[in-house]
Amino acid sequence: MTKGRRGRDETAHFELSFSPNVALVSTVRRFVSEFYVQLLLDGEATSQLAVATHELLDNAVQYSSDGNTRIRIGMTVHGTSVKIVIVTENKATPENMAAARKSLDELTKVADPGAHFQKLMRETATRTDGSGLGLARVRTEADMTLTYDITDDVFQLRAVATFEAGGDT
Amino acid sequence: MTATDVFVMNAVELTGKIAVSPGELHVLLCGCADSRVMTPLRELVTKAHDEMLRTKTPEAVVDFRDLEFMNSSCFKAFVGWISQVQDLDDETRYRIRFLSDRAKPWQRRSLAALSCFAADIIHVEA
Repeated sequence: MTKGRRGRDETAHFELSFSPNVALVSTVRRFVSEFYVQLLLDGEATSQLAVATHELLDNAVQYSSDGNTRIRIGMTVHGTSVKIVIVTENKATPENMAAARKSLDELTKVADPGAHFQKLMRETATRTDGSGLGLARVRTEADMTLTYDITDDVFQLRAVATFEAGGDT
Repeated sequence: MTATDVFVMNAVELTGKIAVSPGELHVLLCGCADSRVMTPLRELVTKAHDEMLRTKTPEAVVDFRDLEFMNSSCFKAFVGWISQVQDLDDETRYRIRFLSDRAKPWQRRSLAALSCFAADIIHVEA
């Protein structure tokens, strides 16, 4: 684990850098699930965040062009609500960057994420490259808002959601 | 009636098996279905589909209760299976019943999406 700088107003955070290794994704998911539980989030919220963390990391690991991936999870408590921000960062090829932009632009502009997920499920059966479902799962199943930022060859993906401590979103 | 195992899979953190008894086919999964087990999981699902067609069984029971987690790559294997069932004619089409664990909320959400995808084929039990 790396020692990172806590953002302004943040209650807690952690950062992790690792080389792409799919075996580590499940390990990190389990580890951060404990982190979420420590934040007093209930089983429902923890499960949603575990799904999001796993899918975001899967994506970052799969498309990292230099063998490195970084994840940062920040938590801010406001009264009884807990805001969670998950950021993944990796270098990517221009082709993969363009594909990610396309799917994220589509995903963020749809009015009905659930219907969009159904459309992607119909498409995935014939896809040969990946499932195309991971980020949509973050949006629909984890109920997180997704944004991205591209600086040179670095792709940064940010997922945000607010939960009630010990309750539902 | 004793069930007979027709396929057993043991890959990384996932174990799975297909067991048949007269009139029933069960798929049991236990552990973690992540990117490392996409290929063996797809093989298990293909075997299950083939066995359903061979035995003309009306319903497959897929037991997720001991499944800790499934990522989207593995979820795709089930979407593919259901799509194949949807493509069958009325005489050969069969149902798939999923057994889920209420204590694993991701199962409710993921299986709800599968139910919407093929409401006439999928049934989910919690």
